[in-house]
Amino acid sequence: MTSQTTPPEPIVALPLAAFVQTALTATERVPETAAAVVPAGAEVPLRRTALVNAIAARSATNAVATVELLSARPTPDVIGELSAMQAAFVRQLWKIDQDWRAGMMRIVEGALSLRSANTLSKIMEQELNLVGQCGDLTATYVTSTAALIENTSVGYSFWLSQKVKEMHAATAAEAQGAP
Amino acid sequence: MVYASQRAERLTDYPVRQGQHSISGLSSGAFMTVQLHIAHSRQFVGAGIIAGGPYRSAESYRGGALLAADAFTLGALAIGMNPLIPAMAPNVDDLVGLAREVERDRLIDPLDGLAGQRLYIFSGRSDCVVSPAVVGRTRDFYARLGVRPQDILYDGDVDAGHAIITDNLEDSPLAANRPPYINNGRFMQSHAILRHIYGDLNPPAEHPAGRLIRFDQREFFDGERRASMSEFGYAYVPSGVLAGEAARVHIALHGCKQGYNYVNYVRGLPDTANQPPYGNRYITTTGYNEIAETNDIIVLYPQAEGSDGGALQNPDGCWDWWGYSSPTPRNPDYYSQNAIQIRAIHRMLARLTGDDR
Repeated sequence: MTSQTTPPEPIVALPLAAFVQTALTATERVPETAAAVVPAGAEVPLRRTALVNAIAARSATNAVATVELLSARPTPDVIGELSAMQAAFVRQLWKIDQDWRAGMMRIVEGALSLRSANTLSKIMEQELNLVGQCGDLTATYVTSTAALIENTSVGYSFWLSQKVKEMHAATAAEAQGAP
Repeated sequence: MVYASQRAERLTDYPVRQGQHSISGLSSGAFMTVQLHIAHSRQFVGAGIIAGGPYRSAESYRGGALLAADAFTLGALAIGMNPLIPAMAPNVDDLVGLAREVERDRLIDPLDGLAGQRLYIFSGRSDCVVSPAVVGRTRDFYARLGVRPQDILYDGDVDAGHAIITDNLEDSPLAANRPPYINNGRFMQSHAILRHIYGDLNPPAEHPAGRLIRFDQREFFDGERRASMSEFGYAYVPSGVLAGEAARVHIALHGCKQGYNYVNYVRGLPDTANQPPYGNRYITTTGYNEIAETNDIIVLYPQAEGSDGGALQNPDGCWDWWGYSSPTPRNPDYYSQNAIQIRAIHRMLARLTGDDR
């Protein structure tokens, strides 16, 4: 397996929509498996679905607002900040992926060392440890990805709101300065 | 029979130099330092902020969620701690506006008291938990409120992770971002903070000869669970103060996962079978006591406590800077003199200085 040692170059296009959809689906599916063991009546899945829908709705609103912002104010600073955002997002995604790969390598190494155990109880303990480690790694991967999406979505909404405020202030200043 | 060593003391008063107090903290302790410093600015002459954001930064964006508590939690994470890019960090103008608003409502001390105060603000270049862009906004926030540039020592040049820095060999590597968030950078950051606030200080003692007091904190927050504070707090009282010298008081606030009884949560359950090895390290190894001993400074260490699940979501034992302890999440009060944690710590200070008599 080859491992990357430097982050990928910033991408120019914006393939976030497809990625966000995939990641949202993942955050829905993995917990569904876990939800099978949650007692009936627990309201967690309902709350999760509501939050996932909220992110999806916010992403859609962000997309529309971005188009409006770019059509009204396609300034170099806005475009530059959008590019910086994409690059930062990809860097963090790359870091999550690296952590996943490193975790998988550790588990594989652990599996290879199982043969050095010499009692049944120790072998069983080691096998179950590997199962637990796989679960922990999956949980970390999914929650890190969900956190990145959630933070990006909220941070981006905030950024848009600031830009819209600046745009209105500039428009008002122009109107005041007009004869 | 209860042995004396098994009892927590009642915090008592000492001779003090009034109006000469200060405060510092790391991470959530730094965010709390800013809230408490702004709320009671007349009590202090300066503050030390290690990896902390500006006042009420969690409230930067109400539109993040339908419910206010959700929006402030998301705001804390996405804007107040780790924005993707600097342009997504808190807006200083908005936060100055919020501060002026609570000043008008007399929920904090008048902000003109900040002029002349000394501030030490630090952000490690490798900090992955609280972005340097956010910490930079803390400097800008104070400057907008009248703190002179020459009174602010802003250090963003050290390649440190998210941590308070020490010169202890056994602490984590300087660039690490992991508990217990105490990293070895070959200098004592606590000394740098106190020296910036108070000017020239005597060199630290090798062996502090004062008393480290364990006191019962509960009387200061009336035992209310929503305070998310532990049973005990700590205070270091230098030998000179015990002998009658007048003291200054410095409040040192730990960060998340640094309280004396912090227990890691694993799969939603407290991992009580494997207590982490740090416990009291923030109190005993960060260098505050050594320099306090030779300069007659009482160091007060209030303690926050973790809780997961249910209404109180604070699994890492963080100080409240986004509203979890507020009685009404829609209208949080964590930043004002009425906040349960701020009130509790202020009461401890009043006890030490005798102002509560």
